[in-house]
Amino acid sequence: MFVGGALSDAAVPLAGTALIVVGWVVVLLTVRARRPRDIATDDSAMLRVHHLTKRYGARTSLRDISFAVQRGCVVALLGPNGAGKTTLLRAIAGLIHPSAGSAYVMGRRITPGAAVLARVGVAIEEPGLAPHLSGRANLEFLWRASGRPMAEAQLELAAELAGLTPYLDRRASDYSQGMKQRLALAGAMLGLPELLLLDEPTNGLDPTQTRELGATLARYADSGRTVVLASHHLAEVDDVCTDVLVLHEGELRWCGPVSEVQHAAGTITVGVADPAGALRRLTSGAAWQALPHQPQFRVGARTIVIDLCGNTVRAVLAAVADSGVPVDSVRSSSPVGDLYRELTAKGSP
Amino acid sequence: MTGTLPVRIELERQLSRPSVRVLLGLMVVVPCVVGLLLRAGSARSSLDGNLVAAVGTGSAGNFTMLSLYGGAQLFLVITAAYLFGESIARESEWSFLRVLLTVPVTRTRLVLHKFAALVVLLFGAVAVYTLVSYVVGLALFGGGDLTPISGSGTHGAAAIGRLLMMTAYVMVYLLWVGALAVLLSVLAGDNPALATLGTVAITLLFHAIGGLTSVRAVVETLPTHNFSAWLDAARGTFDPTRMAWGLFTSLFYGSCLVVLAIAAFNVRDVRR
Repeated sequence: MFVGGALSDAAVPLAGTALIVVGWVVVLLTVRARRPRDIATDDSAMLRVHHLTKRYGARTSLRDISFAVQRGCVVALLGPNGAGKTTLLRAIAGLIHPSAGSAYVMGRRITPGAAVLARVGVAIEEPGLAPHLSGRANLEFLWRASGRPMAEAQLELAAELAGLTPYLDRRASDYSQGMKQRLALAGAMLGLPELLLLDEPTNGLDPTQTRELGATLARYADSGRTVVLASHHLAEVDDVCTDVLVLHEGELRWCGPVSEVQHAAGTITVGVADPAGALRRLTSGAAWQALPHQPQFRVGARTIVIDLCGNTVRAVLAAVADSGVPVDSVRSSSPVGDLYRELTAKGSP
Repeated sequence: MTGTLPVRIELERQLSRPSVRVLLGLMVVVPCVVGLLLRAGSARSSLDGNLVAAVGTGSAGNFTMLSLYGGAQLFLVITAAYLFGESIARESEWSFLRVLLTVPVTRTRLVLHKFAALVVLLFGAVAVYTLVSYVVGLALFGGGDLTPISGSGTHGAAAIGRLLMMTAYVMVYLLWVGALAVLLSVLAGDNPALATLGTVAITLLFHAIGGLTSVRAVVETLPTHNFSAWLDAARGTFDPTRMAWGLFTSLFYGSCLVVLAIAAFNVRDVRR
């Protein structure tokens, strides 16, 4: 079969080939067996970001960011476009390499592919999906890729929480933007992770869906889980979030509980035909007197401007409604919105 | 808990992609079309001046050999470039890459397991292509000996054995093409077409350089240098040295390119 001496001539390349094959088998078996190791600390915070900086060439996207988030919180990450919100979420998810500093989840340092990320649900920017698969198949693949048993995925529950159930068996390529957003949210909620990182989760949702999502996230956090959401919808923050982070030009401008912000500012302007009479009825109402902090007010020609003084918008509006005062119009200035505008205004420190 | 991104799951997902199914369909269609064209050509005696085509219509084995020859030069190269070139860049285009990485799958594991799944897919595609070629050859040109352009041939079970050897060689030869496509897929960001076309262009460039006798020293180091070495196996008595070097260079270049792809992917920021 072989010409004389041919096999001895072929011995060197064949030996080299065998060595390469054996080498790759060893590499594949090692990678298969190896679990990503976590670098653990004794930190009790759900999420801690420690002096995190990210530079792209000469541009600094994040500058020395530090904060901590405790369990059970819903944290709003606010900031105008380009403030660094998405970059921060990417760094926490291990998708980008920080130029300096680190992020820790449950005391474990985040590196690309860190094992602790299995306990984090991530939906960043535009929803990632395989367009040729149905929503269900996308979610199933995602979970099976994690190597965990399908029974732990709680796929139906995640889909229900995200409002995706009616569309689960449609092809993802036929999804509207809102449905894609829900699919991304359901994917992030698979297995009900302890920390959810959501980037603009209300994009593509109508006001009703946005409200429902807020309620869902609040319920999610009630079970001891933590949600960090980057959002432009300031109205969500008052109702849903427990803490606020304000980023501007890559710097952290504010970090604290919403309750602290509410003491800072916020007004409701109520349009009425007879301000003096309306004020008498309002202040004598039981709901008004039951407010935790007595609001201050100013009377205009056809308006009453009420300073919240630490009360929530919802509580003050309920007091107005309870008084039976005929109201022509209501304008609300959110305390978080005021703070946000103040901190992100041009030239602010 | 098993490891993340099991090869089997990735393979299943690749097989669910319409474009991959179309590609596998082409593995069936192309040999049929080529066979019918050759049959029609030989009936009109227009193959007299084309020795390769004339040999290709000699028997099922010869037709299979001709299919592999054309495939290894372009069609199967495009197949490998497409499958592997899409691996990272297409996921990135779909914004699915970051979803996978936050599963979490480590970067090294993601590249290796995708590569392994695609190797299985590519080998399957080449196997289907060869099998269909043989069946088409059998139907159109009948059985018979496996006869090379020059020298004595082989027949019967030995001929089948040689065809299997040739097919295995082409499969391994294509690995460096796949590895190059994966590297370009990592470097191309979210542009899979760039990875696929870049791979095909580089392969064709190497083939073109291979024809230059003035740069013999360079030519001998190219991964395409021994691409047709498997034709030696058609001879009754053959020298396996060129095939052995061909296997070695393909695996060597393939390994280097995969390692480069892993390194490049590990330092990259994933934005999509």
